Formats: sequence, C-alpha cells, structure tokens
Amino acid sequence: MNLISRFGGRIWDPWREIGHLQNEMGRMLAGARSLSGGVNQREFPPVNMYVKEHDVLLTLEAAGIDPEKVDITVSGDTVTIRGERSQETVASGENFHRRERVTGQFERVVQLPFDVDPDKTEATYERGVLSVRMSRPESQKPKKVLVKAAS
Amino acid sequence: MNHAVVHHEDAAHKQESATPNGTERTKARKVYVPAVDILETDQSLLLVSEMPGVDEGGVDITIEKNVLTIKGTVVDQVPADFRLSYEEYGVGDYERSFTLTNEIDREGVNATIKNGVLKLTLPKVKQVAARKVAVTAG
Repeated sequence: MNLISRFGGRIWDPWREIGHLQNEMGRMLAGARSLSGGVNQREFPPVNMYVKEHDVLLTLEAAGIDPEKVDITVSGDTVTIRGERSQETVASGENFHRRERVTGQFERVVQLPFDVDPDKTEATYERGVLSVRMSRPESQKPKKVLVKAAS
Repeated sequence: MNHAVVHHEDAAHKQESATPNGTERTKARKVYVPAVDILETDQSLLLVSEMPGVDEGGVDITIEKNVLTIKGTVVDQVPADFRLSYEEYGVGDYERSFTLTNEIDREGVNATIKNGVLKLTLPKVKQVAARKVAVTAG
C-alpha cells in the first residue's frame, strides 16, 4: 500500500518530477471516517512541501493531535509520518448534530526530491500544524570544482 | 507562487467559504470553511472547529441576532525563503456561520483554542422547557 517508486525521467528538472508524487504518496487511515456532507474521503493530514536549496520542509495540517504520539521516520529520500487523532469523548446524553472531523490513526509517506540526513531532521507542532524540516546530508551537497589556471 | 507547484487532485478538500451574491472579499487571501463537530447535551451545545494555523490571537467570534460566526486568521509558519513545490491544502483563513435557536444563552458562550482546535461551549438558557397551554372547555 505504501510502496513508493523512485522518481524517473529527467533529472535536470526536479520540479517536474515532483508531479509524480501525487500518485506515490501512501496513505493508510485505519478506522477513519469519511467526511459527512458530501465531501469525499480525503487524505489526512494533508501535506504541503516547500523546498529551499538544500532543505525541504513538510507542513501537515493536523489540528488536535497529540504531538508526543507522532512518529517520524526518515530513510534516504523517504519520510514516514504516523500518528493518531483521538475522537472527541462523548458522554452519555450527548449526541452529534454534525460530525465532519476525521479521527483515527494516520500514516503519510512522502518522497522527497533528494536524500536527507535523518540526524538533522527537526519537527515542531504549533497551532495544529506539524512541520518537519530536513536537510540534504553534507556528503551529498554538490561541490564546486575550482578550475586552476596552469602556471 | 511559481508555476512548477504541483497541486494535488484532492487539494480542494478544503471548501472555500462563500460570499453573498455579487460580492467579493477585500483581501486576496482565501477563506475556507472549517470542519466542525457539533455535540448537544442537556445543558449546552459544544462546537469543535478545526482551524490549523490559528492561535488565540487570531480567533474572532461574534453573535449577531441569531447568527454565530466564527473566524480564524492563520499565522503563516513557512519561512519566506522556502518555495512551495507540492500542495495538498491551501493556506488561508477560516470563516463559518451558524444559526442559533433562542435556547442558547448568548452571555454564557465560552471559547478555547488549542493546537488549532477551537472549542465553543454554548450553554442553554435554564428555563426553556416548553410551556404547554392548557385548553379548557368553555
């Protein structure tokens, strides 16, 4: 379910290749309910990816999760984010008028445009947004080769 | 944003908030309808709304006549030197309105926000037990 293939094709244009991501992001939302009100079941939490030269930042809109229960695994150019959003506790005598929020366990697998250093991965959870910032390892940063003039 | 941004097919899972016919918002930023759970108990109505990116400084709750409006202004958390390259959700503010019945005690409304989840408690007026009018034969 979460198999991800590597980017194929033109290496010279990574931005194009990211397009392949959309079919390659894994999802497993065990026990999740689809949205009522006619909206199709969606991937939770939705991910945005932002890139700077050697850094990549993922932001996930995951309001109301327990950050201590979030599990982030980085391997090569793949990052897996798992967590759970618990259900609103319903006391006896309470009944739902509307129930649109998705609850349950989630897993998102994202392929990044380059390999990242797991030791340099940082995650923060603020205002219901989970941010995962990763960097290309030093050894894989492109190196400039100086051309020496023959003397 | 740059042209190379990939928008996920399902990026529209956040529904944009409507404006009255023929009108537009003054701000160019998008406004979304936040997902809500609404629970009812004997004493109150509990409204749980999802507003990721919003903290206590960005929430605005108004009750005008019988319309409750919740608004949330998002704090952008992405550093300016990062470029968006893949998008499953749009970043924008939130707005949604609900009509309230007379049994809600407007003065007693209480709101908290934590981790992007807004919780509104709308207590019911104590004495709303329907009064039956007894009809006697004349």
